Amino acid sequence: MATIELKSLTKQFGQLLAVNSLDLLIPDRKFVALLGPSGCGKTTTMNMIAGIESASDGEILFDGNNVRTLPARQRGVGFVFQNYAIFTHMTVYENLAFGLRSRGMKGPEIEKKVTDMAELMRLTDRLHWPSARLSVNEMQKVAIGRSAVTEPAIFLLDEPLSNLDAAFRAFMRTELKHLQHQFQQTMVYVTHDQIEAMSLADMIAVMNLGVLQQYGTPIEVYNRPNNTFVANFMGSPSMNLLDATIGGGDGSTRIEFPGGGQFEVNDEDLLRRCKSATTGAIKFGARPEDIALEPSGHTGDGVKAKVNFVEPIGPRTIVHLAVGEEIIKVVVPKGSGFELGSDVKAVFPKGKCHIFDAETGNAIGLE
Amino acid sequence: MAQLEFNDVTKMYGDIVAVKDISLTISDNEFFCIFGPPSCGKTTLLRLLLGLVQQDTGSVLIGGKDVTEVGPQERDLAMVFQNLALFPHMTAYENLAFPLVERKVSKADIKARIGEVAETLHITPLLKKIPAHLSGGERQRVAIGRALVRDPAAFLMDEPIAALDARLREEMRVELKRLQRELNHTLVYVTHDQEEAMSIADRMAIMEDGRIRQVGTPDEIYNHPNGRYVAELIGSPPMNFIDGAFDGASKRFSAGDFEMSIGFEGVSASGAASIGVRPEDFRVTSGGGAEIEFDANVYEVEPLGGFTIVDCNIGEKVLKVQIPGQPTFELGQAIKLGFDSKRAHLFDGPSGDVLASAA
Repeated sequence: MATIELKSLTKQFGQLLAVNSLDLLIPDRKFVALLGPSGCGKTTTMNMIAGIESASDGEILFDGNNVRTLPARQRGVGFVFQNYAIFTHMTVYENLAFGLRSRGMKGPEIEKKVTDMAELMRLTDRLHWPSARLSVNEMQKVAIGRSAVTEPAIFLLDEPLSNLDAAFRAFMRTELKHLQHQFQQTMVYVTHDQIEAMSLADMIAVMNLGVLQQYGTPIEVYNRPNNTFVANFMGSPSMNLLDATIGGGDGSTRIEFPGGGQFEVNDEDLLRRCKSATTGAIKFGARPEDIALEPSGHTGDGVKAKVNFVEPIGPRTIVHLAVGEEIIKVVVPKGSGFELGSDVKAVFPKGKCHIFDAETGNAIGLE
Repeated sequence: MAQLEFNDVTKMYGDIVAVKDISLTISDNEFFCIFGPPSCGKTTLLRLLLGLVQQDTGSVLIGGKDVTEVGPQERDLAMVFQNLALFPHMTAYENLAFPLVERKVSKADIKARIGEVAETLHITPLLKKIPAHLSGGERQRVAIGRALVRDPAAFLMDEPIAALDARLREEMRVELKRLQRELNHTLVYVTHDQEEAMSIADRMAIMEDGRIRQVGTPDEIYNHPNGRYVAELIGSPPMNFIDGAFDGASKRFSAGDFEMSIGFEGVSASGAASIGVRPEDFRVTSGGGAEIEFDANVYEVEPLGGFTIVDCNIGEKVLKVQIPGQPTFELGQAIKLGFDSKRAHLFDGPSGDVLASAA
């Protein structure tokens, strides 16, 4: 099928470096998400892979062949956009058959492929409807099906779910993932939604300001973020990042928080790295679902806090704690009651706390 | 600082029903969300309050007073729109001052009032900048500030943060809630984002096709939806439904080859019905331990970091199960799913009305 390799890929728009020397290996049959906030270069990268945008510098290899100068239509990629591009004057069937016909496929073969795809996308009872009568959700299904039915070796999707309602998005996430498992294409998926990236991708490339920040499996990126940007971008609510100092006195093995509270570091190697990498100022990171809420007298490592705000969001409740000037968010299961203004202790989880250099934001280690 | 009331209000645009038979009381100092899909009538409710459109029948009351004859300017409401309508050539300060200048407030009073509001919104350092030099979130704060300087009877907001990115939305919704508490004003807030509504509302109304389907606290709406419509709309991933038939006498529910005994107390009726179970109310069991158990196969796994969504096949049907942490599963793996009947909802097949609600 197809491996995609980007080598020092760069795109410059005037003064703006939209994509800055990007190296990325997208393995055959993998689902890779390009994730980041607006302006991070993810769509520009995808457009260069598709051939819609020319690269300023670098190489784009499909199975080892440089396609950088190849026109879009000769690259053999399927493309789905945010705004479903379907022919509204045609029926669903005709839309699905269109790409097959233009590739010279004949009657019975088209029929089989179209009906199979309709079944997979749960569009069977809509096959002979005029597309204009479909709901927005169904139109996007047709748009995805229309591209997928031609079985391109490389399938590119640019925020295909972002105009859809929440319930349907959740449904389509599963269906897209299933589709990829069935057809085994190499899929590249652009999104700013970290939940979509986590749930769909085999690998996530997190980008910011044109620069690749981290490339790994969803769980790697979530559990071992390279820097505070990735730590903050992945997860909802985001990772708590607190100012702290490490190794105050000469022999101290503690992380101390400005408002009181501490966290004992047992890993001597980590301690050494902290001391050599920083002046002692660090960012201390802990995920909202890993922090335990205990009575204020609890002796565990952590900080004293006051319940400041409680957000019930259905399956989970987000408890906001005031710790000095800072706010820590903690996620608890639904139905756990916490009173506004009550005193608690936020106890940090051993083995799941992240230490970042306060200056550069780079990860130093996990304790 | 006013109670807002709709009494049996209907508004038609030609043949199209915008809102129908709306009776709703929004209490003084309440943070009230109106939630629903596009064109369900939520914005029309705001326009009726503002006096931008006039109801065909019924009455609208602000602070106990019928405002049918009162023009928009005299209704003393402050509105924040989704498209922040800031004057691009004016600084943030001038934008904030505008409604006060219009009302002929003295310069000294304007300065004092803006100072106060800017502090509350944390925009003091931005006051000299023009909108083009502000970020999306900052512009939104200025737009909200322009409503705040006026000290109106109530604030109305129409998707004020929908255009911001996810992280900023999460921050802004907390900020808005804090503001509303500090200011102690009635705030009516229209949104199509269910998580946002759940997070900030004291109470919320769920609308469908111009009618209100349910009014309650976020907790009531989430845990005791009064029908399938509300149950499907609130919660992400959405509630799972198993369509089948319930027999009130034998307390058996059957859906094809999927059959179970489930004791919905007080439901004696029989007929087409659906069982609803929220994704987080399922458990993956090792056999035993749950009141109701059945076999399923893993269809897809969505690891989301803090929790994992496991999509499970039961025959043709796919159920979404949400479990804490980062467990691993093989695709196609046979598992046992369980849930407790007190976490299940029963809905009438034809009407979708709730027959039995989770405890």
